[in-house]
Amino acid sequence: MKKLLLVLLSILTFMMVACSNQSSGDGGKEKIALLMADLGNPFFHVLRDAVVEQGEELGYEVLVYDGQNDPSKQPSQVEDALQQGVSAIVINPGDESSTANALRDPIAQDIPVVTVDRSVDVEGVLSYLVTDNLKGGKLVGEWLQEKLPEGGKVIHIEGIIGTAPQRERGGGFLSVIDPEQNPDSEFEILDTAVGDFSMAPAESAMSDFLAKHDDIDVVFAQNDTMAVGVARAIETAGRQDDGIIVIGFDGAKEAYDLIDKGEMEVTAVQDFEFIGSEAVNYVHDFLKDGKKPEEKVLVDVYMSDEKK
Amino acid sequence: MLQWEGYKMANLGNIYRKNGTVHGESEEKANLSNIYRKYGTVIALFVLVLIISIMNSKFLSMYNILNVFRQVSINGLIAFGMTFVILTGGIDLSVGAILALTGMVLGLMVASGTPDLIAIPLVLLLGALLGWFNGVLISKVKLQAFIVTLATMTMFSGITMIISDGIPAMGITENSPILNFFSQGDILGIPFPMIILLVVFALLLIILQKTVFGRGVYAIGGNEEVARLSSLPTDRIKTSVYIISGVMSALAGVILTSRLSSSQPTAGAGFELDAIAAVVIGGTSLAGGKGRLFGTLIGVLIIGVLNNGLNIIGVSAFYQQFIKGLVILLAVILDRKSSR
Repeated sequence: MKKLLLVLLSILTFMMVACSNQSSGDGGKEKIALLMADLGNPFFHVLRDAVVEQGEELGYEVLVYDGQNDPSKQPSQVEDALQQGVSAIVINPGDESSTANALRDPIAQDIPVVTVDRSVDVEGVLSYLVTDNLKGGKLVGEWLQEKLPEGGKVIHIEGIIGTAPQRERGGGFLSVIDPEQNPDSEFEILDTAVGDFSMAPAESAMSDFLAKHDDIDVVFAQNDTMAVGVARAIETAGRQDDGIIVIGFDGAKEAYDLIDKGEMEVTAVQDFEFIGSEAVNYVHDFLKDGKKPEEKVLVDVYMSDEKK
Repeated sequence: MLQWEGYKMANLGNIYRKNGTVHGESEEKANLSNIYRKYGTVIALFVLVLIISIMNSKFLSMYNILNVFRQVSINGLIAFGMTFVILTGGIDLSVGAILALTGMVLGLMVASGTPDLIAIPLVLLLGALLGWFNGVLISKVKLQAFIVTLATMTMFSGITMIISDGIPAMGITENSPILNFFSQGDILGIPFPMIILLVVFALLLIILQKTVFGRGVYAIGGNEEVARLSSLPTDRIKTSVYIISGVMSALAGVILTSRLSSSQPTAGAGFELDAIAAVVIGGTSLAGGKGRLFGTLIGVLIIGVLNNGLNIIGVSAFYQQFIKGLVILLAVILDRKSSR
């Protein structure tokens, strides 16, 4: 028993020392804290990498925190970042309210805070960079109208209910496609399911819908992870030749792979590289010259079959 | 007062003490509560299927039935392992994390060229190892199962994130026909996951009902002190049930990885709840010592039918959650009432 305890304690100590983010005598470099909502979602890695790259290029040290899809973890990560003496904070919040109080501290200390991809309900944020999800949803709808002018039967797979991307992508899409919102629409919303932006629930819901509906023309999944699950369900059901159009959102690598294979049709591409590096540029310009950017910057998406 | 249902204590004698009262083997009384106990869950399943198929006949289409079979295999395997653990009076919250970790290791191995026939057994072995880790802490170090498996759940998830860097492994079944068969294949029209489920069920049933080990599992759940005093190797039995749970989770991980053709670092989140729900609905008591593997199978089917059926008849996602919770509550209440 004592030996076991000793072993576990030494593993614990070793891991904490070896894996810590402490800079080893890198004194002099200013630090930027990057708080990510959920590094378990690979698409956010693009955002992380863009921030880290741009930050390091401009001579900063970037400390990365992972909220692990639990918004309640982020307030203490903010405080931790302040303890580390960061000069700026770039945050991709898990939700709109959990970090509001914690962020008041850095804001009061004139430490620039930039939110990316999702907003926080607090005064004094330097800038909010986000994909225009609403416009993106509408773009998807318009793309679909052009693709199928005679209309068709649509299945809608939604992300985590209550998040801005879910509200806006869905809202934008439905404002064009849903006949109840747009009387000119020739489409029919067959069914809706909640996929939580994850592959397994989306795959499961789609396989149920394939049992329920013999005739499906289109599936719009609010992010690529779910779209991949949808494509997989279609493959399992052996209905790849049904001609079901699968649409995703994000521009993730898995989506491009499937589009190349013909299992997905298109995805709306978010420019996370631009958002990430711009966020760093904003804090840099503020720290150097006190320059203030636009308060809210909406970044357009483009459909993946538009550009090469 | 506990009635003994489904186990024979021939080796340990028919009488022993708990809380000062003497219990004997129960006689088969043909009253309502016993009928519920034996058949209640099956009747509930039947009624559920009936209601849903009336509302939408597509539910009973061949494609959908096979669909449900494929879907329940994952929860089913985990729930079988969970049954063993709960019968001893324990609990295993780390099953989802074991599933994720073994699934990720499988994905990484296959992606780097390891042949399926080597990767799959290795990963099952990993599941056994992780389960053994749980088992030792619970049986030898005598820590509470809830706390231990809560901690290992976090640890194993952490390891999954570390080895994957949060990135899922994709396109796994492209060059792995054997792995692909695990979720997509079928034998004589029956989906392979379902065959795995039934074969495993048969094996575990034999172990539980026909071996001394199985009787030991019930005995420990009934009264661990007495079981120990009757010279049952309680530590070994307890460790073993967690090993079983680990292997089952790993097998479920293989099927899920095959099904999604991808290893997701966040896979399995919440799976422990569905498994526990299936076990409870099936009539196994969380206090241990009472329950049947067959009950778990029915519980698994009830949850699977609920998940799929509510989608088929078009119930919105929020109502689905509420209904599922209500069903679990009802099952527990009915079970309580029938054990008085």
